[in-house]
Amino acid sequence: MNRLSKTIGGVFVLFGMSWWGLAVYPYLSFATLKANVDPNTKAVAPPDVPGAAQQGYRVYAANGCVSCHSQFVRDKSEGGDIDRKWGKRRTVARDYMKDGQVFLGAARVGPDLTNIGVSQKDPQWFYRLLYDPRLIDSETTMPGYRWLFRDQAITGQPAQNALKLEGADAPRPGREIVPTAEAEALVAYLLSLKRDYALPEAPAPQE
Amino acid sequence: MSVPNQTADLQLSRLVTGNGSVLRGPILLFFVSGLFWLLVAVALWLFSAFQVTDPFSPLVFPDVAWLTYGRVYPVAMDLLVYGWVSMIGVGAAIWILDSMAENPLPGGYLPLLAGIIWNLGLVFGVWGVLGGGSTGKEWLEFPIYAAFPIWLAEIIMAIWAVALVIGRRSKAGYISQAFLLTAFIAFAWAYGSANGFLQFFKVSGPAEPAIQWWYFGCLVSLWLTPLGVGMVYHFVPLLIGRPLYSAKLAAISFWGIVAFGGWTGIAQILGAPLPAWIQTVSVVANVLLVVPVLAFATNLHLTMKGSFDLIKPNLALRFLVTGGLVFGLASIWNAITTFRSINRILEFTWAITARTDLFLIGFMTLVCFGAIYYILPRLVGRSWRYTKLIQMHFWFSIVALGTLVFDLTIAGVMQGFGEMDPQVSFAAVIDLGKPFMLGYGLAAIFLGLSALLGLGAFLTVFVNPAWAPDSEEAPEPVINEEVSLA
Repeated sequence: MNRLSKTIGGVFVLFGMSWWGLAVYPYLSFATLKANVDPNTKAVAPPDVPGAAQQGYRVYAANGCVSCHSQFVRDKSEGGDIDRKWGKRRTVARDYMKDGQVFLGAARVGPDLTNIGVSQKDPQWFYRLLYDPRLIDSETTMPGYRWLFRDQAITGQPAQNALKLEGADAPRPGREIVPTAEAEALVAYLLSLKRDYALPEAPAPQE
Repeated sequence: MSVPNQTADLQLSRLVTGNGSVLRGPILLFFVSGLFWLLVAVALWLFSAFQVTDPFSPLVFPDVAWLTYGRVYPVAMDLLVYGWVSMIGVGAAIWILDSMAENPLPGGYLPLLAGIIWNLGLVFGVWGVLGGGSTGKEWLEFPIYAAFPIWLAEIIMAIWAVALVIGRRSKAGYISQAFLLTAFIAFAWAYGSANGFLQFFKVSGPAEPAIQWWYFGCLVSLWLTPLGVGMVYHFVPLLIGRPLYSAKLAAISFWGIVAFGGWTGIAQILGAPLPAWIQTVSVVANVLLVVPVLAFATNLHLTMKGSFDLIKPNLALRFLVTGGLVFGLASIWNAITTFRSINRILEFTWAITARTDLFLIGFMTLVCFGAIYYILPRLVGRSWRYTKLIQMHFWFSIVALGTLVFDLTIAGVMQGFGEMDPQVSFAAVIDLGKPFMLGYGLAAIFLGLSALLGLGAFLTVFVNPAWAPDSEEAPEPVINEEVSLA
């Protein structure tokens, strides 16, 4: 009994150390992060996440985007992410301080998305990619997400965000393909992925 | 700190069906559900492997939300972990803890209750993730309404296990007891607090990855590892009729795994936006973890020395010993790929996936089947008739494991070196791994076949000849009848 309680006590202490160091400490210390305010321009970094983008976390999580896409840029010494132009600098904790949810990811079956909103600014590009990835890149292994779109009859003017599709993908005459609210939220989120501001703790490496 | 003495494990060899009657229900429930979830997991894995290998495959359904890769693959992995290896591990742990306690069992309905709740949690989890309720956090995808039942079931099991050990009639302490209790306590703590932080308290963004990958380290090193190691430490000495070689090595393996295990997970996301010391500590922990794991594998090897002949006829032993030795290799490979110079190339690639698969399919799955092949005949009082089936199952498992790990590792290495060169477009990087990805599909087929063979072996036990506990013949699958296992 004594020996057993010693064993269990030891497990609690040793295990508790990792719990404290890797769960509780980050929980407490990251809660106090403050945004960086540029002394000259008064610009706040990172900027606030737009409300529309916050609706996108759930869609990103639900469809397992994280199974193939990461969202962090490693330092030059840790990998080739910066050379690959996935970001000008490494990402640090403050980059994520305003995100309601963080999807770092641990696999890259597809490209990193840390700065996808910097390289692609057109919602149409994202809609076409999600509807049929082959429209953007004929070789890609990414699957389509057509349930995020709706085939509807055109009433009056065509919808502003209707997909521009040709050939086999084109909707039947008098109809149009429009993104659902879920697709709009997801694309707003993807467009918001822009870590192109400067943070003093992560200077961009010199070329 | 001391560790319980392991040698007495041996004296249990003939206690086999002692308390079996009360426990038969719960253990069978855990075993049958575990096998069921294995089949579901492997089917979904096969499905997702073809999806990711060939985007033009007819298995890609762009119109059907719940069949998309990002939902199917995580479900397959979660079922493999929380359905298959966890449930078999718990079933075997019930058997082991009970036979070591020598008690008429208190509260036999508790494990039964836990088994039912656990299964409900898994059903909700599959339903939730396929239906679009995933949390999007790897290995923690199950939404709260699925994670909570699983956690509750585990708490019930933890309370039952601790109560059983405290109230045990036999005051001897065993190394496998220590491992199994650790597993139950650590998983209840880790799964509860990870889900609590991420889904209930909604911690600030940057803390999420730290908690999530801390949990992964605990899941692998403090839940699955102690279950697997506990099974090997318990069954192998029983099967060869010899105590463990060294109590000291056993103590090193125990305290080492407990001390380093919790720190290992962060190494999955090196270069992440986390404090540098956290990442360094995690790399160091992964390297240090080799010491206890090799202490375990060496102990196993030295215990087996002179008895390796028995591996050939005794199939339960073969599964257990192979699994245990694969674990030693897996931990060395894990340490090597964690070094920053290598990790910077292989991180994010299929090679890292292969590293986890080597642990799950190599170590855990083999050991789980070994435990089933040992326990099941004693549980139902029948010995094996179709040993050829089990022999085939073993070889299919090895071929599946080899194909899977080899292919994914090569694909990952190609991918990793491609990614290092910014001149190579990312599409070309993915192309580099493609030829090997066909092997991934093949491996998934082998895995499916091996799971079916395992199921077949499991089912045939019920039509097998009866076995009496006092008969000289070993009830576990033994190929050559002449080999005696006195």
